[in-house]
Amino acid sequence: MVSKSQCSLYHCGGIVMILAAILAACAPAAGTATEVAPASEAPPAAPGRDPKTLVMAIYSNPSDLDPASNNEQLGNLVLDATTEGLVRARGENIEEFEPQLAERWEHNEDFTLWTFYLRHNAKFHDGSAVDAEAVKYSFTRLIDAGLGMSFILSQFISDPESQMVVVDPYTLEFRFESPTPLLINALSSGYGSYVVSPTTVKANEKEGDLGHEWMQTHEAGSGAYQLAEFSPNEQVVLTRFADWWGWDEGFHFEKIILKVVPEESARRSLIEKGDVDLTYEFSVENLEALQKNPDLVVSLAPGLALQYLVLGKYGPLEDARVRQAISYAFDYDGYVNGIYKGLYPRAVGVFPVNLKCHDPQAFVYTTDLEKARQLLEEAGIEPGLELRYVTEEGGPTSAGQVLQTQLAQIGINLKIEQMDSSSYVGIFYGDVEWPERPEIMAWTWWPDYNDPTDWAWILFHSAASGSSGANAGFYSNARADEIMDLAPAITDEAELCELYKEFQDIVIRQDPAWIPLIEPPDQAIFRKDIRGYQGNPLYRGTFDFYRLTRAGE
Amino acid sequence: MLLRRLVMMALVLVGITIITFLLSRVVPTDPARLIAGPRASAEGVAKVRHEYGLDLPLGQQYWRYMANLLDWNFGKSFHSLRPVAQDLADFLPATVELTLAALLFAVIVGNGIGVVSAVWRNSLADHLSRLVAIGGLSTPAFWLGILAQLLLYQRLGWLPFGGRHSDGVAMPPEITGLITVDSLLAGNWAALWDGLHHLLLPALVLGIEPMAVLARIMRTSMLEVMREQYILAARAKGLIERVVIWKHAIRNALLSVVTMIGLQIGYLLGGSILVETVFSWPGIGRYSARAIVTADYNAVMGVTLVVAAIYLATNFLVDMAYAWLDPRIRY
Repeated sequence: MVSKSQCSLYHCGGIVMILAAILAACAPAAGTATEVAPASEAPPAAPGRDPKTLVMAIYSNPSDLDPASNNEQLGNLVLDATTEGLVRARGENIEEFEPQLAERWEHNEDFTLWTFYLRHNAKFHDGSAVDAEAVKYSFTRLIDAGLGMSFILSQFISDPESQMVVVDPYTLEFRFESPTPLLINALSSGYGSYVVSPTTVKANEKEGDLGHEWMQTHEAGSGAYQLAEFSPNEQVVLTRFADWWGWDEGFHFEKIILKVVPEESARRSLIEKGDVDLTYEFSVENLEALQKNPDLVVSLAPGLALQYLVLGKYGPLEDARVRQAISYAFDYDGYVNGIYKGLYPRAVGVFPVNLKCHDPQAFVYTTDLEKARQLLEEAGIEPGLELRYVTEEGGPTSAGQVLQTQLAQIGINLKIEQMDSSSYVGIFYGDVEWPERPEIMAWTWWPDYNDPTDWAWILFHSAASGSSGANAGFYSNARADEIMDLAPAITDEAELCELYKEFQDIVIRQDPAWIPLIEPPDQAIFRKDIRGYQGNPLYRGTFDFYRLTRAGE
Repeated sequence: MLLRRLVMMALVLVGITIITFLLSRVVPTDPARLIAGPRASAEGVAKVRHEYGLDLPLGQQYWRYMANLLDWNFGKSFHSLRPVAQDLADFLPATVELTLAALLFAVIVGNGIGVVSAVWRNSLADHLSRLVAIGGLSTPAFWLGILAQLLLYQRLGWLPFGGRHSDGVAMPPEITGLITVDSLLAGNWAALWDGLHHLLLPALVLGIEPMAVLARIMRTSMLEVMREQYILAARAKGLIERVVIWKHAIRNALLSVVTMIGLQIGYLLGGSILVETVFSWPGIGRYSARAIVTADYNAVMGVTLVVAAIYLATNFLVDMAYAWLDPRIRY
């Protein structure tokens, strides 16, 4: 029989062992000084590592490499390196464009005709030339496939055969019945508008699928890097494409290894130890710690993403005053400075700050519980109202908790639920009605390109409700709809932004659709010897590997 | 008896497919929307639904799935967009390698600790052994794995953070998919060393709890056996203690332990999810975790079937082992 003292010996001993291990692991490692080392003392690549190989830790496996369907950042990370579009947003700018496969372009006065002149020396990785026929094929494929990203061009082009005209081997025209000033924006998008090799795609077509099945795990691009290895859940390896048109004499990485490291703590260990050069996707707590590491550079560049709470325009929230009351109740300071430690800026209005036509004077709610109570009283809401807040796994439950605490003070009981991704997406993008449909849901969105209508229509138009778009709150406002319907034909930016100024006031103040929370920045954490990083808000989650260099090489 | 056993196993697997199929369909999910993406039109989503057969009646979906199984076709994964059979072929060897290594550690160390603990009962060795066992049972593998990485990788630099192999090490030709075995077969000692180096930490972390369980079971079993009359008789005959322990005691104590080893296979396969995530080990544990949260029906069913089949086969072998251990047991 084990005596009481022996029993406690084991348990105490076990606790001592565990504590000792914790202390050993948490003891500061040698060399982690708090002073920031000057750039000239940037540490070299870890011993045994090839300096011409860039190693990046990514959080999950890219699952879809077909530009016609990929809607994930991870797929874009690979596509951005291996494929190209006609144009690209320049540097960190989202308003200017630089040549990619197109050397130059022009349009007529009313934007009904666009002409793109392709460079003559671009080649696909299979050796075939990038010409006007290949571009036409790629965009026709994108439209005809009818998959997730088809809308990027199908919203402008209904008849690819007549609207895309090959004038000569390196000149392609786009013809429209009505002004289409946004074509260049759509062509610069990080989604859909990539040019793929007809030779390779056609050779891998199966049962009329336009090569979709093959393209999901392969690439057929012309980019600076080509896909050398795709080991699912393990790593993706890209190698330099020697015949790429854009190489110069300077240093460029020969190989890019994207290691799949799902666990955040493991990614942090790897970047701190120098076994990877670049990584991202960290929680605020880890970001704070990484910022103190003198061997690392933590970039939190303003992006175009916006985290928000949908306020469903149905049930008890149908009355705008109730939605206004909830907006006044939220503790913005607590969320931005407490939960996110001031690292993520608060959203201003329903447009990201960097989006065209964002109104910097947009109405901003303050936390005012008294005002919230008053509005609820005016709307005839009695204390004891029950609402549901639902988010997906990994989503912002903290926002729900903040809101729950605040709403309790004005007599509203908020129940918080968390669902797996598939179930949540099924509800968010589905047609289920209230009361099965939650009153409040959390989501994050970013645009396909820099245009207010691209942003607004799918999120707020009444025709985009439920399975028709991403208007999960079934928001409907006649004047807001009217603005979104008029906007695409407006070519004068000042006029466009004036309209959208009114729109933003409607959607946030008069008839709230959301509680905008924060704008998550684009994260990039890299070793100090990695230079040249230039993020662009339009290409969230990509790193333009061509521009990266290593100090001292 | 063998035929009856095999038929029973097949029926169990069919039952598992029915239960898994129904459970996955009962949850209100929309994998078609998840695959098509937020920007897809209703027509685009419908297209995806049709591609994966999700627009068919439930009965027809199940029948189609079972018919395809006869061709070893597990359907296509909604997440990886590849045939599930291909995914399983890619990821299963990694989990098998990890599980076998963890099991080897658990069996050798656990039984060793249990024997030491029983033979030198109430000694310092016994107390230390039981401390290790309780520590192993009390410590969550996920937490232990992160701690081990912090200490052994980040602070001390003794072991890699995870993954199956280092960049720059030439991999052996794939025969079994187990890097250590394939390296051994190919005589690629660099790859073998590198593979063992990567396997060590995740295998230890995964194997700690089964090791602790086996240690305690072995200790209890040994203590019971050592009280038996035949042990007393063996000592009375003048046999040296080493022979008494190894030839008489351990062999009889193993019966209970062998049962537990079979059950621990289930734990190892299920517990591999967290360990594979922490150590970026590309096995079916991580694959299945992702499949569950994305309602990847085909992947979930494929993994469940394979794991169930392994579990049934293992326990069949355990039953066969009884007959070898105890000649009185005959089937």
